[in-house]
Amino acid sequence: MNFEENELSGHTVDLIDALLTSMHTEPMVEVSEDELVRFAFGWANDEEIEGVLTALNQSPELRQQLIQVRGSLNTAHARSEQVNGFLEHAVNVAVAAFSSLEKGLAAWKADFESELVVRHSLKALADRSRTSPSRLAFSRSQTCLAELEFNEATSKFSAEVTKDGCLEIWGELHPDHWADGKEVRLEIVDEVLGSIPVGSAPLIDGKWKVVVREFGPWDAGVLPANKFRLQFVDELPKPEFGDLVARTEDGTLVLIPLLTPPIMGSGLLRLQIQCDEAFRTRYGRLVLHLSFNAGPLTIPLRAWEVADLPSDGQLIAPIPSSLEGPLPKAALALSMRRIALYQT
Amino acid sequence: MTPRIERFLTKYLGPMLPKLEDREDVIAQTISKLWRRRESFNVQGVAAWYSYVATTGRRCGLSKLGQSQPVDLDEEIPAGEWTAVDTLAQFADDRRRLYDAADQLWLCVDPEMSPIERKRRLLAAQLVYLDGIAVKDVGEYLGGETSTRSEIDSWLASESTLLDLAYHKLLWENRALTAHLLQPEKPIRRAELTWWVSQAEKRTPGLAPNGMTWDEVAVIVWRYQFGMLTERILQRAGNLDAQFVDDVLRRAESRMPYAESASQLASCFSASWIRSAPLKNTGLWKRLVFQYWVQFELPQKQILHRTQSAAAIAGKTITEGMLNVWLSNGRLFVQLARYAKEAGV
Repeated sequence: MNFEENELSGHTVDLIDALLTSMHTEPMVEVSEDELVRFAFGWANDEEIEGVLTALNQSPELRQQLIQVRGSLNTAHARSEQVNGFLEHAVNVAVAAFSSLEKGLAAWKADFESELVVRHSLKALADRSRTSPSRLAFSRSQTCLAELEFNEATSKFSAEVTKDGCLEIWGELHPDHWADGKEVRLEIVDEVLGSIPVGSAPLIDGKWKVVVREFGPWDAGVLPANKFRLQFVDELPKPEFGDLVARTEDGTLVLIPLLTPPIMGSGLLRLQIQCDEAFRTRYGRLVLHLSFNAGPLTIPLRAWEVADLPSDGQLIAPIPSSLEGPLPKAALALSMRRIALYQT
Repeated sequence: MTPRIERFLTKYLGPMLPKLEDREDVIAQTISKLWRRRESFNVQGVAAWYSYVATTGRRCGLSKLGQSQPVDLDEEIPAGEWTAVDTLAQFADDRRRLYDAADQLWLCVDPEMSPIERKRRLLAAQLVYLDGIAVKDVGEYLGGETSTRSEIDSWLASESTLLDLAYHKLLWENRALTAHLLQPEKPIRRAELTWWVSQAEKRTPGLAPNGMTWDEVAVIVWRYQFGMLTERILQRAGNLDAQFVDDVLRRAESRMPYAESASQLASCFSASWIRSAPLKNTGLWKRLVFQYWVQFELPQKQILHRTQSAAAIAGKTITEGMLNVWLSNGRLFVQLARYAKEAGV
């Protein structure tokens, strides 16, 4: 290695110049209004965040749009502060937040969110597994064909990120378990993330393949095979809708399975959670708080003593909105405290 | 590989063969020759390969120009310069890595910082210094990530964030510049610009929405968005004369946003009691010059236009001679290659 000179000959400069300018130019980042709204609400995933940040860094006009979107939340907030009355303040904030939600919901699609959850979960799983290389199932840089038995029926399990950014996970069953034509479902089973369906695929010659679209580049590297489960679809219990995460006062995160997705209608928000006897016994002294989450604003909706939760886990809370339809899970927050800060 | 070689030769042979048709013939001939001789090339690295491609291309170019006698091209890269070429050639397939290295070297960006973190800090600085958001509120605009007030304060005072802010404010990519020049009071949006360009290309009669004629719009678009020289504009337009084009361009030059951008930065830094002087940092100006050279492929004269008046606001002098040393003599390339090698970028 030597850099004997501070300058270069004309031929070398021409060569480097042609070499560098012949590289592919990165396309300008275009950001849709939907993406900007999701970013403003704090609902965007890492990939989206990076794209929106790049565009915001480059465009003063887009920053003005961001300021307007945030302003639609903050205006009512500021106005209500002047009133200096807690109730009016709370109502104003809630109404403003739900008004903005309409725009946010237009930007949100159920499919998008479920794919987002899968991508996030896989990456989160990989991040946590970095320190356990012995549990390597596959990595991005190589097509690792480690034949790991991640459950007794499986003989092969491998994956790779394809050139077009999809994550392909495939496997093969032991001949004893062949059942051509049947459909299998791959899911993550993890103590932190809960149970998350990754995708389903038909079984052909004992082989299956699940594709996670738009997975994107991935440097994290490892996934623990023992965090996955493969099941025949016709043997699955009734569908689940993932978990809500409740934070306790000491910062512990508790996963509460959702049995139905959050749905709005007639001024009410309805959702059903799984709260079995073990859950009631363990957290019986706490109060479960349900809140609406819009960026930095958290709007309390309703609270229940865990011991008195409806036996079927059906939670109903009034909302200051006439919107109808599903609400993204990311828009809800649960917490569990020793005392009720408010009760309806 | 072929498209890459085509792009390389298109750039490399540009000065020798200004006519695009001639260049395309020579490139096709060069590629065919390289293919026929592929067995004889002894792989010694990326730099050696491109040197070989360049020499073959020049020989074909000379032949096209009618110089049939063998010519000693005397183009071997001097021994002390191979390392620089080889180091920079490593970036040849990844433009992002090249720019990251340049950011670290000249804008003091921490190599350990994630891209998202850097962009978030920059956004906080842009919102506070350029868009008037109060420091206490800026955390609400950063996409849901919660940051403490002291963290945000430290970002806003950090030299690298301030350099990043200045760099992004002073660098005008072609479309943004065109949009500004067409309508400085309220620059047209990207989607609208596409419509303006299509109208200008069609040579629509009458006036554009800003009161300019569509001919004037076309000249501005061709020069500033597509980088055409006057000769090419005249060929393209057919009915315009050189005087008209010069007048339009002269008026456009008077609306250039660079000095105003630098003034705005200087004012907000001074109002915020920024003690460092990011605009006086030579690294900032090297980074801008490098980007205009490599990404926008601007000639030195245009780079001088885009940096000189802005630098003057900060009391910095940028001259033609300085750009000559930085670019034609390859000093920026050497500095970047040296940094990349030492830092293992």
